[in-house]
Amino acid sequence: MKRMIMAAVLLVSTVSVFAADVKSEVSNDQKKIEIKVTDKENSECSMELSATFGPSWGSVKVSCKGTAPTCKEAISIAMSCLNEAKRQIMQ
Amino acid sequence: MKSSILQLLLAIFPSVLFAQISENYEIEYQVRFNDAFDRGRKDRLHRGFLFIHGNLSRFYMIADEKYAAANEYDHGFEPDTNSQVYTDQSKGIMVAKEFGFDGNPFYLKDSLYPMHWLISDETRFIDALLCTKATCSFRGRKYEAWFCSEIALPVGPWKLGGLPGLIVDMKDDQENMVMRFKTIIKKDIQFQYPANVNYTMAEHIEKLKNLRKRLQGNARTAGSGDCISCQTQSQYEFYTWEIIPE
Repeated sequence: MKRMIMAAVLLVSTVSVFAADVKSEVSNDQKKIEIKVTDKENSECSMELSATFGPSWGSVKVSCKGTAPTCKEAISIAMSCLNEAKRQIMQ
Repeated sequence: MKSSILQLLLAIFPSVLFAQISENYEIEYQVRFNDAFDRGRKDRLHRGFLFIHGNLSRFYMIADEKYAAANEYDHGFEPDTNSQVYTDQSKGIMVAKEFGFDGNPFYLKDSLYPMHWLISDETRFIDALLCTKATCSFRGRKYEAWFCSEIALPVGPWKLGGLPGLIVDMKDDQENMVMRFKTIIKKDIQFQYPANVNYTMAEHIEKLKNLRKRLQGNARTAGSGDCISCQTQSQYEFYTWEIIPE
């Protein structure tokens, strides 16, 4: 029971961090967030961003997942990964 | 109504029935293309135009409804005219105008009608035209086409052609790309055939295969910066209408 309450508290707090860091909300499958509680004291946040490049008849979809202790870090990592992928595709 | 228009056109232009490739025509198709092919459905209507000027031809499509990005991460785009394909029947060359993932256009040289058609005994009337069914596999997809030998033009929409008559109806087996003949008129439309195109489809396929390998080689789970427990993982999915072989 205590564990479940802890998970709920962490969920609310990390989602708040997430909401504060993201400029616009995207509700479709292009952006996913997962929050995993590993034990009482530690949690990790996974943030997945997807982007599509190219014309509709020949495109590439990149999905980048960042996992970090906080959602803020996870978003930052996922964004860096996406930017790196974009750089390589645009070469 | 459509049938009567076609009959009228054929009456006005009887030479269409026994046309030689030296004549000039404008052929229009109605096109439905599923932008989300291999993933789901997002169909849009286009108009397809095939101009024939002697031994040269030009095909292109214009979307009725413009491409709309799904969200801020969708860097997809669509040029004003897409799927542009030129043929030079006398030289047996096809040239296509393509767009890279970065949005930059380029031309590439392709074989003229490399697909191997299987012509069946099945026939049906499309409007007033008696048409024959043919099937083929081309770059990873299966196509069904109906050609009309009464219109003796060995051409068709997009990259399809090489049959003993104009392709008036075609679709792939998933109905992601469906093209239906609308009109044919004798008309001399001038266009610039892309000259000196040396980049080949085979080279382009190799380039895409290399890009895919490079990107997938980068896809990994790794630590990030100073954060020891932070990890990143990337995944790449290619969706190309002409499927890139492994």
